Amino acid sequence: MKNLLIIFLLLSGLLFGCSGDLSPSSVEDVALVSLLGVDYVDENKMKLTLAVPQSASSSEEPNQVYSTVSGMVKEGIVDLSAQAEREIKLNGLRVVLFNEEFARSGRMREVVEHLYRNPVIGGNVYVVVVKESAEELLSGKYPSKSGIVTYLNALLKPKPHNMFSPFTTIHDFMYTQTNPVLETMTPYIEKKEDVVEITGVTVFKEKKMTDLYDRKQGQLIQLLKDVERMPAATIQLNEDRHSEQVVIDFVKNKVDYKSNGNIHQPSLSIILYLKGTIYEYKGTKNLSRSRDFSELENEIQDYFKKEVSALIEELKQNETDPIGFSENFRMHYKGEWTQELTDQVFSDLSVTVSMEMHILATGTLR
Amino acid sequence: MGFGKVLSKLLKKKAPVPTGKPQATSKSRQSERVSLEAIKNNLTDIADVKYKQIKTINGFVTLIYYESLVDTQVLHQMVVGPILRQQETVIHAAEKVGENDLNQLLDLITTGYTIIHLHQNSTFYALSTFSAENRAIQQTETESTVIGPQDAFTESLNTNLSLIKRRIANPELKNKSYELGSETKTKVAVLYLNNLVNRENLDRLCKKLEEIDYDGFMDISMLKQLIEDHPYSPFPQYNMTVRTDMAVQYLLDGRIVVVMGNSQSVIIAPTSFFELFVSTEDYYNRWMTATLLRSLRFFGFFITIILTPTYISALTYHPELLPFELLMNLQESRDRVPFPPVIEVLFIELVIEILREAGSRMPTKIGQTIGIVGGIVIGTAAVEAGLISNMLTVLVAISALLSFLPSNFLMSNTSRFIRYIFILSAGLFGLYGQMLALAWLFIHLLNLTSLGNPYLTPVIPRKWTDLLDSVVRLPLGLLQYKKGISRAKTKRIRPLDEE
Amino acid sequence: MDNNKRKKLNGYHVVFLVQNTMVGLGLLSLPNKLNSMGYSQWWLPLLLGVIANLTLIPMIWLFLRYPTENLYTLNEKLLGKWFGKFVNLFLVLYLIIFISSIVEGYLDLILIVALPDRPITGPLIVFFLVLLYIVHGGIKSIARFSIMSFFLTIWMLIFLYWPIIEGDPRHLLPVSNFTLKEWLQASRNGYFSMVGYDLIMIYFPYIIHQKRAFLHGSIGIWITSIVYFTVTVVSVMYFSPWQMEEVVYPILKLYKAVELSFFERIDVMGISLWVFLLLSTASAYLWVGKKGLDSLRNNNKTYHLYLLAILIFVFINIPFPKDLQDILYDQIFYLKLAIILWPNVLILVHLIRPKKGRTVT
Repeated sequence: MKNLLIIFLLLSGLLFGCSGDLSPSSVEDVALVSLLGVDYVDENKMKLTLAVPQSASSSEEPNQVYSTVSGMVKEGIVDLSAQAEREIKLNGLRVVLFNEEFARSGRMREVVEHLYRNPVIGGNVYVVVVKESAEELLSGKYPSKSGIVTYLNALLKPKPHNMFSPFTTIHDFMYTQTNPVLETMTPYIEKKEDVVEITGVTVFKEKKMTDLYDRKQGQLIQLLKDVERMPAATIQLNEDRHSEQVVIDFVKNKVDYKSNGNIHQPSLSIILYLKGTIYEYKGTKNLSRSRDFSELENEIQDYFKKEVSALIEELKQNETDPIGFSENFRMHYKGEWTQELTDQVFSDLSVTVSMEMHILATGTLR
Repeated sequence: MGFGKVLSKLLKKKAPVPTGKPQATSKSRQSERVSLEAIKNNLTDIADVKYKQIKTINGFVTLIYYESLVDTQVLHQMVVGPILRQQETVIHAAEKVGENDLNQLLDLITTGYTIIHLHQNSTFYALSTFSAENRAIQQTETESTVIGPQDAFTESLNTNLSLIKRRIANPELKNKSYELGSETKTKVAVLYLNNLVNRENLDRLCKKLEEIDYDGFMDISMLKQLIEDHPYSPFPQYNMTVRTDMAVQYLLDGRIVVVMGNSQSVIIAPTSFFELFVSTEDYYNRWMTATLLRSLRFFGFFITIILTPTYISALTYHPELLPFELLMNLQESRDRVPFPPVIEVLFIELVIEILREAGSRMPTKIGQTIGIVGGIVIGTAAVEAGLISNMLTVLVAISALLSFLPSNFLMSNTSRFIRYIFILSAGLFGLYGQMLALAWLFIHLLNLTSLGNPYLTPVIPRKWTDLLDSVVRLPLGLLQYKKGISRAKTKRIRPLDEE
Repeated sequence: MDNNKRKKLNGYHVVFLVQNTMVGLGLLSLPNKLNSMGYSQWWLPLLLGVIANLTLIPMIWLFLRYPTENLYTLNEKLLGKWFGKFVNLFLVLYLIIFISSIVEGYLDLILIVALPDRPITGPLIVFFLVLLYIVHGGIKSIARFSIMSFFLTIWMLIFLYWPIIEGDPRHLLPVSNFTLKEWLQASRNGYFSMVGYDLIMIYFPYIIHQKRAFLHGSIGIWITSIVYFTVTVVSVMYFSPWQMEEVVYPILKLYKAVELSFFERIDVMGISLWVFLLLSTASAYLWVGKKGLDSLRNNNKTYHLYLLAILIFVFINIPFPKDLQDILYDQIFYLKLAIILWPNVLILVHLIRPKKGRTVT
């Protein structure tokens, strides 16, 4: 009996609602912004560029690009709404691009924080830094690709072969920005004629982007950040004498940190475990002989040790720590951890790197 | 509570007060003595009533019967022949009708008896000669299975009883008889296994049957609606089947089966929500196959009610839910559609209903044509014409097919009705509206009872052993326990609800 | 039928009633509430569970001595008719404010995340229709709905896989990096999310196995605590200290980390599904409120339920200044604490009451 009442009320409520309240916009009436580019104009202004995908039936162009100059993101969006024939919504945002100048100016955090606080924006929005101009990149023509939106979207999805790049989401960006123990990294992309390429990794010092590392260093940083899968790497061994070249596909890697927990005389031992298969080998060794094989393993180990130590040296010189070495000291420290402590620990840090390399197979090659 | 109560009271007041007892005309009959004249007076204007006068060695005999209910050949074999030869044998076989039982006598005539009136001592005897044509036992078309017995119930009560009794050769199988319908006097039999059935269930059902006050029944589904605990619910609360094996299966579980004359289906009571998705074929298949098919049917029910509503929510309120590529495709096909998604979905769902309804009313051959024409022409043409998006045709087709998965036809009808509630709530509040509708659905199901037993078992199990034979059907060797809902007497594990 | 019996809640019902009245809106913002303890907060839910379990003891002890009374009737019995009624009136007012606060909190969230740019009225009305429908079925219906909503929502925990992968377990150390003041503040804020088990004092007379009610109640409390514990651990792993402080609804951010190829934005789905948890919590509270009105008016009328619903509806729609509302919703904590500690007072009264009074009952 009461069921009837409820059904009746529900139905009438719904019908009433449908007739009166129902003026929702459907997918085709909204411009779901996929890419957002931010360029540096001057100290207070930025140039916003939005790329909105559009369906093939309505236009030849695979996407619409709008841009405007404004002081804040929201203001810019409101401005752009005057140009767009559809309602601009940020719900479907996927990638935010900043040009290098903007990143170096230190205002990037403000924009990302605005996006991070917006509840309708998803968490897996990637943050990248563009070499010259984000607007140019977004409005560029890529004849061999099906539009910049799909292209960038696919390019910036984490895949095993491009794990040298950190793939910073807005959460990661805010996390690294606000966590005193480590610094922010983002991928760095360049427009080269009609392709876009991830050419390196940017590293920030607090709010400002300061350094740029190449892909190889990016991969080592990722390795130290304990990323499980890594892309294949080409290694040049014994550069001086008989040169050898190895291409290794990493199957699994792991890194262990052991700290002494003393922030006044910090010392850290890093143990890297690598497992991989050899794709290609160019050199004099006969890999079917176990002696040569283990010798090669050792050589690769030495190579990585050297490279890692060199990387850490460089990071120390630049005074930026995107890996978060000091986390190993924070976890033994009572009290509030600050940026100063991180800086202090990192500059005093003495690191010993050790390495365990296992080559699982040599592939189909001898 | 309030509104429904008032409504039901009103309904009760409005309805004429049919009583099981004979009405005004019959009252006058009652006082009369049984005599040939009285019978003739009462059976005026009935063309097929026959008064056959025979002269035997003992005197005149009049046979009174309905020509339409009694086959002439049967009459000759059973009555006329023996009477001419040896009157006593017939009289012994027949029942004597009391002197003042005119009422009963008339009832007997209307149910196919032949009344033998001996003139010499003006006594009346009744002999059952009901021999109207019956349909042969045939395969079922509505609940057909590949494996398993193929004989289905027919419209004859006796045939149906025999179909059950030949499967359970056990004196514990009882059948109580009722006569329902103040005008039609339809025969109803309540079957149960005395050693298993729960007394409380049986008493409740019998009480409900006794309290029924209705003119007549065309089919047992009408009776079912009258004896349900919650008549306002969209859900069928008893199972109905034409499959003999299914009736037997539930009898063995301690349920009660109600069979009605002139009605092909039988009612199984009590029933849980889940059992409306169970087919007897599940027990004939291997257990893994059965599990797969069952989960398909069960989850299919929920998918069919949320698939198209989700389309609405995603397109109207939450476009960010969809994967990027899908969104692109959708935008493209939605670009030509001028309506909001709710209208689009309502439109195509109604078209599907129309197609289905039209198809089921047509003769089979035309029905098929209509199906093809409707499916292909309306489906593709509507997309071409920009009335609906092509993604939606796929979704609607899937959900229409899914709605036919439940083994119980009433349940598949229910799922189609429920879907509209979900469509409207999704159109109103997106996913939030859908979840509220889902909450409503669950709480409604939780509140339902079937003969006073919770309806939503074993989703919320009454006994842990119920879970062995739920969405997962384990090998038959493990299914030794009676279901919680039947509260059977043997192998009893206390239902969780009672403790 | 089942409904006519007075005793209708079995063990499972009690477990999930206790569990579901606790998990409501609180879980959504729990890690943020505990924020004053920083990274060391992750084990706090376990401690809160212990406290909750300890405070459950006097409740059960008291009501085992009055197995047919609920809190309202017991108040009248032990404190005298008029003072008891006064306390009950206070309780009902508290319930109205509390239900308003959770319903409004949730709907605000829905409006922000899933249905932007809409007035609150429509979603609120439909919410209330469903809520009333649940409460109509009585306490057993609510209990069964609680079981249902537990299983319909608990699987959402698997989405924590993504934040766990991304998170840094080193954040869990050091364990005790906080001061006493910070700990007290975190416990106070966190205990907001633990209340709800105290409603057992109202539905206690309906429990079949009253002797085992403590066990069942404790199981319910510990299910909640473990869910809370899981969420806080994952939050600690996933967020930076600044994020812990600034992100008001950490669960939403945790769900935003999920990457599925066929379904983006689990957070929108999750927050919509949350309505089940909210319905089960609010329905239990509303039922309790209705019982309160019944006892105040000394009769049992269905319209009390509608009256309460209308009061709550009106209360939500009154445009209070935001800060006043915040203060009100915040200060309610002390009321909650008072209710949880109330049985101790009653026990005291029970013990010092003349023996004669006890035998009369």
